Amino acid sequence: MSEFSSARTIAEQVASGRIRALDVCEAALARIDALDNSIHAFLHVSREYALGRARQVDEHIAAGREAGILAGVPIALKDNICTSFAPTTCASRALADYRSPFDATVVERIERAGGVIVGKTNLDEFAMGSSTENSSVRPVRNPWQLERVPGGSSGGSAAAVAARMAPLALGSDTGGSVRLPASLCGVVGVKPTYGRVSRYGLVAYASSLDQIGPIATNTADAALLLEVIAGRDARDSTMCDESIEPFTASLADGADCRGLRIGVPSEYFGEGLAPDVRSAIEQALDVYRGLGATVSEVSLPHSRYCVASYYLIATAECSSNLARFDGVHYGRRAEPVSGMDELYARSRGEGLGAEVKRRIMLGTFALSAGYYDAYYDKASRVRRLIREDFDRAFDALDLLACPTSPTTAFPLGEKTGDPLQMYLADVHTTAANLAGIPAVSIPCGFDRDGLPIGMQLLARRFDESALLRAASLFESATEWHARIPPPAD
Amino acid sequence: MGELVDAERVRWIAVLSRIRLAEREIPTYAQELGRILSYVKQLDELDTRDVSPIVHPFSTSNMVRSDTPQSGLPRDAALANAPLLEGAFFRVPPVLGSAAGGAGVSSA
Repeated sequence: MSEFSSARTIAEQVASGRIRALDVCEAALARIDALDNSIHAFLHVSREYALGRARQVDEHIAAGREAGILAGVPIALKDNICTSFAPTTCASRALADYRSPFDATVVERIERAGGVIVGKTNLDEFAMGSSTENSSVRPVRNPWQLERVPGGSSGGSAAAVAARMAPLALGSDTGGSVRLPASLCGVVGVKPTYGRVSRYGLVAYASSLDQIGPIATNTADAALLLEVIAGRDARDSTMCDESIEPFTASLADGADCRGLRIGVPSEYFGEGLAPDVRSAIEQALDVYRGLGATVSEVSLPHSRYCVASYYLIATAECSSNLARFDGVHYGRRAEPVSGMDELYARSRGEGLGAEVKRRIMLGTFALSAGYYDAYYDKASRVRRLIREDFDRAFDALDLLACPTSPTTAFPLGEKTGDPLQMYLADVHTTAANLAGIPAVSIPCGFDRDGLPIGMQLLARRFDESALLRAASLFESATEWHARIPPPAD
Repeated sequence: MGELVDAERVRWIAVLSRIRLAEREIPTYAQELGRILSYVKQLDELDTRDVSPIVHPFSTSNMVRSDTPQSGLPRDAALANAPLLEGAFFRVPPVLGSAAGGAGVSSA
């Protein structure tokens, strides 16, 4: 048993009593101690809580009770997921001292399955960003090269898993925030179908786009975590009716990809694509051909409008969702103030970072009288055109494949001077959120500088099984996902 | 759409957003918001007159539960993060007739 064991292996060994959850937990905490000073993946390490939970798991098993399919597995949570036992700061000064009175549904489900939450990971403030440089605390560093970004907004979760500080993590994905850091850090990241995973306890950014998703070193582990967290929750009324599927079981269906029809959207292979990314994807598609899949070109004609549509809808929704951070009931309150208006305006002015303010203001403008039709309503109509592109594509195809990101990890500070440049990092990922379809990023190579390259697969709504099966088969034919970042000395 | 965002507009948006901006930040926000709004102007290229907006990602009906009482957040938990408490109340400055200097821009 090493710190590089998969979550499944850990759970099996703990459940059978061969290893103790306590030992696994101590090893993870030691690894976090050793590595996180240079990576900054964690905002809070729940040392005592995790050790206590691990002991409970061991006692549970010793008493002959059911261990749960995540028995003893150390798991990191993005710090916009509410936990009662650790702070939930969203990497914002507005919530620096906030302790949630309740646990998110995903937390309850992880713990019921025997999982051991080891800490809260760093993120772009309120999940707004593509590099984790918008964290009000400090940026996260890419474990592959420390002067580069891990991607965002779930950069801490992706870096923690890539550096093997924990085998599993949860992130949230609104415009790519699980898939993009997964791609840049060389790990697997899944955005489920909208409505698949409860958002109860996820601090809302954009309610029609947000989904919590697993990050893991391999697809089977991601499927395991997804199986635990997915499924109807009475406390989230935006969830779908589809029953929980045995995602892990579906991975075993079929030994190859014969009959699988993969489409490659031509719009994702334009000028902005880095040459090494292009060739890695082309080689990955050859792997799929070798596994028996057919690969054909397809067009998603409204692709170029995805970023614009996203940045109007997401900002409009966030302007509403973040109105609650007003300094009244919780969070940072400015003082002294002479009236309510000043209380709101100064608490928010002082507590919220520049990017958050930018998006709230953009969204407020897009919804304001006289502009609503031209901005928010327009973007919502374009959103339907974008979704229809996918409906048409999936008529004759099972999956779509493309690069997750047009580039590999860029240096810290390279894009922070121009918000629009940073928004364009999401050019391949926002479509899946707008259409509500599931998508996964899987490692498929490295560029000439040794930086990870991710391939994105997209599927029909509720067809995570096809997605995960194809991803798993790719892993069985390649070894990209098994590579570990060099030790950070 | 995509018109220049000037300082006056930024001040107005800041008031609507209930965010106090420093005067010296205004030009930067104006420039950044202007650039972003120019970028999203490309949506005008599409004829969407016969396209209905998406309101929810998939069609669904209203979720209801049975009308049986359930326990909610205990009061102590709800008050635990309060910036200022008075008994079981969140203490705030006067709501009515409060001083005018509220949302908007400071001269800092």
